[in-house]
Amino acid sequence: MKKALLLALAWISPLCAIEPQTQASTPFGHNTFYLGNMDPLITAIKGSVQIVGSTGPAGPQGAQGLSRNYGVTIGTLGVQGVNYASNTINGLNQALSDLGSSMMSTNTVPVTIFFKDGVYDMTGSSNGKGNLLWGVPGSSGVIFVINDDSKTIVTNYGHLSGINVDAGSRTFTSALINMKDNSEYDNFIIRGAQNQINRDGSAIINTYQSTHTRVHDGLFKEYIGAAGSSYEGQNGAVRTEFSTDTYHYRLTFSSIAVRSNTEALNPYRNVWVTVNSIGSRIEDSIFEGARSLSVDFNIGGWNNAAKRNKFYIGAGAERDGPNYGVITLDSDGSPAQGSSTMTWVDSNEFIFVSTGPGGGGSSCIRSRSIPTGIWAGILITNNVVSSIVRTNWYFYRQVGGSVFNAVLKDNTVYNMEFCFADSGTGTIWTSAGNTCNGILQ
Amino acid sequence: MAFSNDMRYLGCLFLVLTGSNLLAETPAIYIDGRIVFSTVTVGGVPVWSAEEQAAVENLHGIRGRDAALVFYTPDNFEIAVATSGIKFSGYSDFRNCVGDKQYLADKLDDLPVSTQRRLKSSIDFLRGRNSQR
Repeated sequence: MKKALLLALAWISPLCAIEPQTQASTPFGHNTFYLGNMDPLITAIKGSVQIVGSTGPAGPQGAQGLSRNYGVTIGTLGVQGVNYASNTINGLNQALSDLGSSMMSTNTVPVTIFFKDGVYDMTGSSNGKGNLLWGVPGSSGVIFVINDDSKTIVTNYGHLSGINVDAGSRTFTSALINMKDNSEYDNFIIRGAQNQINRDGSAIINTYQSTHTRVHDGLFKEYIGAAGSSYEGQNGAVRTEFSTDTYHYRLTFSSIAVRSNTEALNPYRNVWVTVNSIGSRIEDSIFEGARSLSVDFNIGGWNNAAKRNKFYIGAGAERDGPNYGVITLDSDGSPAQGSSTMTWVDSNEFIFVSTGPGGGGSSCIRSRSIPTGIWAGILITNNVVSSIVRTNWYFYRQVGGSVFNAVLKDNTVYNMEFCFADSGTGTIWTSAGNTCNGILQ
Repeated sequence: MAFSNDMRYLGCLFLVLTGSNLLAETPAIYIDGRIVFSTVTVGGVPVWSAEEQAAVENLHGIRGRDAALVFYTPDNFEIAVATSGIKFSGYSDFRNCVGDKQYLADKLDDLPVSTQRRLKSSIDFLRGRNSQR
């Protein structure tokens, strides 16, 4: 028996051998494999900083001479075992400078920089193209804060992962995180942003004139939204404007405050909003305490979508129900009105967790285009509304303006006072597999 | 002569502007198979309750838009079609019935026999009114 085992081990052992030249261990805990024969250049710049570069002939065209720098660690002052000890942006800037990298979109030396747990004042910082600023995923230990309400914490051209933000209940007027072309932000918690002030572009995460951005696996706490802007799309927790293909998924919006009954009606409290953009997506996300304008498809958009999201709707969610829905398809944008087309609202769940919500005209999905700008092409499919008791809301409501050719198909609505209200042109609701309180429409 | 043409133009414009709400279709909405008329619009937006009116006025106020109230009274034919008992597939179906003589005639002809029997009196009434249009 023992002999057979030894023979078997001897047989498989060559299969496990890996040429030392073709792998390198990275701080990510997995291996990076290089194509072709490597001629590693390993240079100690400072502390444990290493630069591994390839000068070999193989690899994709243009790849020769590229290098990937990794292993730089930043910690707060007094923390041991780091390459840079700094509580501010200065540590990051010094690391980038030493590595020959930059904080700009033109960066050609991508690096990975680790942050040890701590609070960092990163007001006005920038993450260069291809760079990874990295904290421990799921940890709340790496926290970026801001000291100037008018400035951005990070302008992100690269990748932020595991970097949390605490807005400190400050009255910020800028975007805390600015997403640029091909940037990514994931595994984060953002809290203390409940005192956002309205200003054009004010947001927790803002994407402006950029393309192919990804924001995912994040948690937003303590958000209420800014009041008093000129139009709905000016601000929001997550905001996209003049951009294409912006993906937002697996986000949780928790502790979304509803407006109090004593507060004057004010419609401009978006959670997720897209304006004048193409291909904006909010998917697989959770809105706890959802209310009007949780998702706002604002003016001038097309091929945008909200899919597989969950909206937990509680008391107070009906505020300003006559004008806005939990999901609003809205061409009512002044000063700049713009028409919109093809927006897909699919497989979302609207879950009423309170017997209290109610109010004239409140709706899960509201389409509107007042006074100008048209909506031509709204596709609403496979959504489910569930309520324990009959709730004085609408599933879908459209009033005023010009909404053309909305198609509602295979939606299932339980225990709503009203399922469908519409004055649009060419809307399809009946004979399309929709059920309202158990009755096929 | 030129003065006369101008006056005629102004007269037409006056009629169009002042009489628009009298001649225009009454704002309505299709709610789960029923047609519900609105008797007032706020800056062009129809409302169905005092709460809704307040909310829309508030929004117009914030936007600095005209929030003038325009009142409507549905005409008898609109009411007759809306309350006839025939099923509409949506708001456009209802509007086509009110606005298009041939469309309504076809719809009445295409109703199932059982519906024609059950709603005979209102269908006969609509046919009569429709033929007079």
